[in-house]
Amino acid sequence: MSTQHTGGWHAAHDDLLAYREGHLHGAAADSVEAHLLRCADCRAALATSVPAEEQAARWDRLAVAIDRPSRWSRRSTWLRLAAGTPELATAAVSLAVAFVVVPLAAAALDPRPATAWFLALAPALPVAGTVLGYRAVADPVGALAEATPLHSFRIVLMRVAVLLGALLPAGVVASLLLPGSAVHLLGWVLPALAGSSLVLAVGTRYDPIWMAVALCGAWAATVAVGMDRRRLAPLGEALDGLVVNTFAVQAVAVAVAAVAVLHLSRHRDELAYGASA
Amino acid sequence: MSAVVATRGLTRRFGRHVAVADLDLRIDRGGVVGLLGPNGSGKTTLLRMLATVLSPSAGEVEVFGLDPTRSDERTAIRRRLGYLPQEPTLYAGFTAFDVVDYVAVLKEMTDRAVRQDEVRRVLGAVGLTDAMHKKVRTLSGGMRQRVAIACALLGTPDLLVLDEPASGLDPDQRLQLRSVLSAHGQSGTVLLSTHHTTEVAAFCQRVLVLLDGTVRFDGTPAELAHLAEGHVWVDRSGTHDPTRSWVSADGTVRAIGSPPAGAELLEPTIDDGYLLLARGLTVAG
Amino acid sequence: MTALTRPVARAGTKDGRWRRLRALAAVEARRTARSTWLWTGAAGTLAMLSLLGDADYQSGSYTLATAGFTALALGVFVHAVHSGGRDRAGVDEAVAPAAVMDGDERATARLLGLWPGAAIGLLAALVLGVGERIEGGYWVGESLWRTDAQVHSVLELSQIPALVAFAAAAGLAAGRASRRRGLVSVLGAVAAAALGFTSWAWQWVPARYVTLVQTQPIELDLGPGFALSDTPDGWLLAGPNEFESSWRRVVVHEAMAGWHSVYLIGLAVLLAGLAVRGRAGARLALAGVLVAVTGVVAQVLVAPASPAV
Repeated sequence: MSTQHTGGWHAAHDDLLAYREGHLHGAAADSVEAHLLRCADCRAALATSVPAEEQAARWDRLAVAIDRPSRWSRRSTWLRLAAGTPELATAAVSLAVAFVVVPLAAAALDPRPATAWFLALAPALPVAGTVLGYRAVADPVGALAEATPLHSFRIVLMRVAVLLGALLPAGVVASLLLPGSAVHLLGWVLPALAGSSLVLAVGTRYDPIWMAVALCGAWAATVAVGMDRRRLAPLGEALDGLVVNTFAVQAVAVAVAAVAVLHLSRHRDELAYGASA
Repeated sequence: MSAVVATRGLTRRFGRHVAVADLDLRIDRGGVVGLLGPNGSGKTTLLRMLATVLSPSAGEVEVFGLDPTRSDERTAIRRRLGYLPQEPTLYAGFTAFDVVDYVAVLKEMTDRAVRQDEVRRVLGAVGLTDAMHKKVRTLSGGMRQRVAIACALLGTPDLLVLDEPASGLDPDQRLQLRSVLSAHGQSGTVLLSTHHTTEVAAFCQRVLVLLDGTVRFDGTPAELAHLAEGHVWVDRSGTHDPTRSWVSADGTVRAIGSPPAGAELLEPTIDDGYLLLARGLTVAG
Repeated sequence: MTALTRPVARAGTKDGRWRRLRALAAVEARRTARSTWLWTGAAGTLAMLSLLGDADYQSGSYTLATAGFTALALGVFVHAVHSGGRDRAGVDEAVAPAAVMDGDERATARLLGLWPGAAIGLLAALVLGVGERIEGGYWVGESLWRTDAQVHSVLELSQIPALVAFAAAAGLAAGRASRRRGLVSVLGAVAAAALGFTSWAWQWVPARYVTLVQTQPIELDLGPGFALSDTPDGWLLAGPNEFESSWRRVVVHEAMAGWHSVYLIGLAVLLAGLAVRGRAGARLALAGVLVAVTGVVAQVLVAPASPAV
């Protein structure tokens, strides 16, 4: 149908655009149409023409594609503050997985010591997670962030919440899956929360690592006290009557957590504005 | 007109060591102020206190007329402040753009398009437009320093507090930094610390010399050089024992200290004035 | 005086002495904490403890759990020998005899600087005490109606830090006294092998009071005229085997263990006095001898004379 149209009149560029947008009517439209049927050059020009707004939009998209910030920066603001570095996210996930897999694997080999060790060491993971929230691994820019308006305890709290949000459910799942009565095996949850809030409170002023180590050691010692010494005793009897599952210990944990939270709510502004060198 | 920075009796102790001792300072709006001093003189501690990062042990400090020991006023100060720490650490796995973008988030720039435009602007100001999307671990030391400077420049703060901004930069980059900072000094205030007297001589309108936590000199760079007036001479004897001497570029020996009678005096530079002040041989004006 | 110098506490002054001791002790403590000897010894102890499962003879693991710490003590000993010999550096006379801190003061500071080793010993004892309780104790004998697992009491666990403290003091004294650090270390290793790793050979009556590593439980001979039905239910018994021809009662005697630790501490103080020398050293040595003798005498007094203890 098309024939080569050599020389002479070509459709005006504006007319072509208007025709494409549908703004041309009547005789003008017919004329352009008739011309297009015959002129390969004008057909080519029409095919490659772009309206102005769309041209600007295409340049913008090209600029964005070239200047693309990395995948990490395209996440939402809240997530970037809370997750800090990719290492922190990796740590949260891998610790949570380990929290479930390791005790279950050990229990498959030898249930009696495995459940006892689980109960003794379980609070260490949430407390370690809280210490991590204060560490350099959690923050991508370190000292650069210190004089910014948003630098505050809230960011540490967000990070710790992310870590605990991964670790505590994992621990509870592990407790429910391990052999032995769930009531006994969940006795570590409140003390873990108490330990984490103590570490959070101390960490606003001092490096909390030694307190964290001491707390975990004290908890393991408390579990050890009153552990039935009979190595071959049935699991239920071994866990029964543990000091840590008594009401007194759990109540003390709740009280400690309450005191720590109260202290935090009054001193949270001390984060990095105080004694540090 | 209220001062940008005002301190009264500012003191900071670390255990038994007194880093900043009873310092009174007033910095008014506009211009570039240089802080000179050896390592351990308290420059970093003073800058950290002014940047609302460290609390004073005693005395008062006011930035923009606000008290940084109160948390609401501290946040208000930080909204108008840009700070470069002495040894900035950047996450090696992020790109330069990511790092500056993250700091921009911390500076409360919530709108993504506006924020990323600002990030591009500051990275362009420090000359890192081409390296914007390279990971930090592939950047040289000077480039990392420039990324950190870019973070401080975000939001065009009214007060820039920079701790050794020129460290790790080559001469060309230093010149570029100078032009950025003096342009900033036209509208806002810049307070920077440095070891290098050349930086101070080049573009600081005011220089403070800090020794052992106290301000020993407060004036213009020319006045600091003038302190050494009459204490720099050409040493032709070869037997004297001056405070410092070396063979200068034209082959004569340039000595600093107490000249003998009739010696040929030379024009002092800011280095000479600083040296004599640090050695305690002249009384600061 | 310029900004670059600060007055140093002068020699012989009492007020500066404590600061000088603390400064050198801090340097030495960092060295101790990073010492390869110490950590090799700790690794050796861990290796021995991991082999506890193989000791399936009666009370085997219970005994070896404490004896295994001989490796840690040996590591501390060798490090202390090197520490004590630091002033010699191959020369006949002591280094810098006219220095602000004389040889005796330096030895005191080095003694103080060995505290990380003692701290590790204490921590190890705590971890062992907690861990073995969580694990459910060691198997000490077969029985139907009574406890067949036992955990170390606090007094027994106290032997571990006491042994490490003794090793530290002994090493420092030996290192200061002798020039041949290598030889002294080897002698120490021989002593550790003889008295520590083969501690079971030294549990006969006078020896077990004065040996370095005393192992529990002790066995009390029930004699030939013995009937199984006569023994009370609460007793734990060990039958005749290739080494013993009669029945024995197996007992853990905490008081004896406690006084044995006192004896070890007395030895440590005595050797510390020999390391430090001087007037203070003589006083320490005297105190050490008194404490050690008290420990031995007390052990003899409280030790069970008959099986019916």
